[in-house]
Amino acid sequence: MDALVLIGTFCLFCAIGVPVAYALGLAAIMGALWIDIPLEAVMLKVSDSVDDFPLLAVPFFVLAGAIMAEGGMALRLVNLAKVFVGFIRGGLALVNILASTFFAGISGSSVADTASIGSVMIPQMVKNGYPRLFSVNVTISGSLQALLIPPSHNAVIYSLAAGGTVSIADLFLAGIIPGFMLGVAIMGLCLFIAYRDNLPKGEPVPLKAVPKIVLDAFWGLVTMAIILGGILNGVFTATEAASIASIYAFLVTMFIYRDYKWRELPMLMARVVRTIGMVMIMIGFAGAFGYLMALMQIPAKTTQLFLALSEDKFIFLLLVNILLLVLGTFMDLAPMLLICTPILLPVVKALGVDPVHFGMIMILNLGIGLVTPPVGPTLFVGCAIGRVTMEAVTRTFWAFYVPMLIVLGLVTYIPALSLWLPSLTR
Amino acid sequence: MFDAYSRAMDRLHRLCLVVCGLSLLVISLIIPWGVYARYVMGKGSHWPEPMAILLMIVLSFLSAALCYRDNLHIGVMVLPNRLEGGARVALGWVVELCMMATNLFMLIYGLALVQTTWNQTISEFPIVSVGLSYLPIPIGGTITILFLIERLWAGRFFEKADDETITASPVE
Repeated sequence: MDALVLIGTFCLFCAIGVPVAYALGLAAIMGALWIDIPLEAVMLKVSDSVDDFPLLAVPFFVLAGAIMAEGGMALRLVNLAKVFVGFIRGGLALVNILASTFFAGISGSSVADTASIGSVMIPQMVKNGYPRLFSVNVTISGSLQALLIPPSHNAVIYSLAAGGTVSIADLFLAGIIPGFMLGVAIMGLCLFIAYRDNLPKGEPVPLKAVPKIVLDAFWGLVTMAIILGGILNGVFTATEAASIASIYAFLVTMFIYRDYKWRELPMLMARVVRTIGMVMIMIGFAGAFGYLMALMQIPAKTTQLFLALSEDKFIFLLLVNILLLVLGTFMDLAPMLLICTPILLPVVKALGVDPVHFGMIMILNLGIGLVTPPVGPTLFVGCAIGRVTMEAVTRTFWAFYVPMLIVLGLVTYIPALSLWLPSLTR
Repeated sequence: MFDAYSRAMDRLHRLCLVVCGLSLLVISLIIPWGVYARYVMGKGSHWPEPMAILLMIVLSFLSAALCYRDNLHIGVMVLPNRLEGGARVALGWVVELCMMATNLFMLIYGLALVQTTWNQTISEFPIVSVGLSYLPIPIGGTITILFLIERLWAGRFFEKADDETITASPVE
């Protein structure tokens, strides 16, 4: 009954259109009143959830990504990608995906990736004879790499939702192979479509232009080295690495690339502030919601329920994947991570699944939800950038789910894909 | 009357934006300073971390109010989008009253938290009260309530953020 009050009221508030963050808060208040917990304790939990130093990594990763996304990085990464794959049939589609792979090493947001790479690549692809819908679909699907390839602020959110027991550095490393696999799988599909539909073949980049293109992109790509190198070598904490990356991104954008105007900086800060506002209040109320779940012993009861259904972890992971895919179509990634992690993680641990591996499954699975209607922010932004309707994209996007689901299956059932790289640093 | 109130809310919105922007800027500078002090000056500073956390609380609760006015909070709009006319307005009132309840909770219990901890001090900053660090919670709740009154007054329910704002505010 306790669970019904807490989770039932949350679902009800969400269903009628209360913002997810506030629905979590209201459900926590209802739950506290139901089990007679003082509301002061709930308030304290809201505050405690946001005054956590590791959490500061989230705004910094958002800031660094925004500076790079708006500061002309996308065009340079596209030029770099053209050197490697631009000359192949369907080359611009592959360039789009590879540029997203590079961009993923700077920004952890698929929406930012779609907006910045899409605004460069979609017009180029259309101009060169690629169908507009195909161009949008390639952009949207390729951007999901940003969720897995470090730095991923969603990995930081997962780590916090897991009570800080999962290392952010391990999660960053764990995302590299699944992220690259996703990129390669979508490239495979693009190649197939390119040969089937006889899409245009690109021109090779002249050799003498290559050094300048590589150097131009190098400054941006160093951001990833700062973040990963700093954290893995124990030089910085994740928060410090993220803040250094923000300063570095600022210096590169303003003093090396010089294609961002000083007077535009306040607007950039205003946009980043809004992004942070959406995430942080959700984390605060999710903390209170999680506190009530713990008091009501919901995670422990869920564990018992799942174990009663099946003690086979392969079947459990299949069920969880289906559940998350369905939930992910209705809700965004960050809230789902915050809500589902405390419930599912104890079950996962009881079945012997590594929490780092499970983090990758959750992020990839819920990431697919970002490109699935009815609630898919990356899909919405892709449609806005590509000037196409969501209905048209939805009708043609189905083929792109195939490589995503194949990679999800591989990541789910081959733990080494996620755990091999972290194991090298232990 | 409404126009005057709306103009006042515009100014409050801008003030929140400035405070949040400055908080983010200061946090962005003091954490790298902490790293610089540790590695270059050879002695760690004890203040950047707690200062950053204090500013983060300001940023979190004031920016949440901003997002409310800009219609940016993530929500499931399947049901509201299927309704029209009176039913949609009625649901809009219910949703806004839910928002009011949550923000009143932040105001009342946030203030209680401030009062309870007002006489305690933060160990790293002995002149700063712990209560002060909780003050952004009731302030954020109050500002959201003021924005909420504007929305109820105007009867603007389930409005969407414009495409440009969504594109430029990447969150999943």
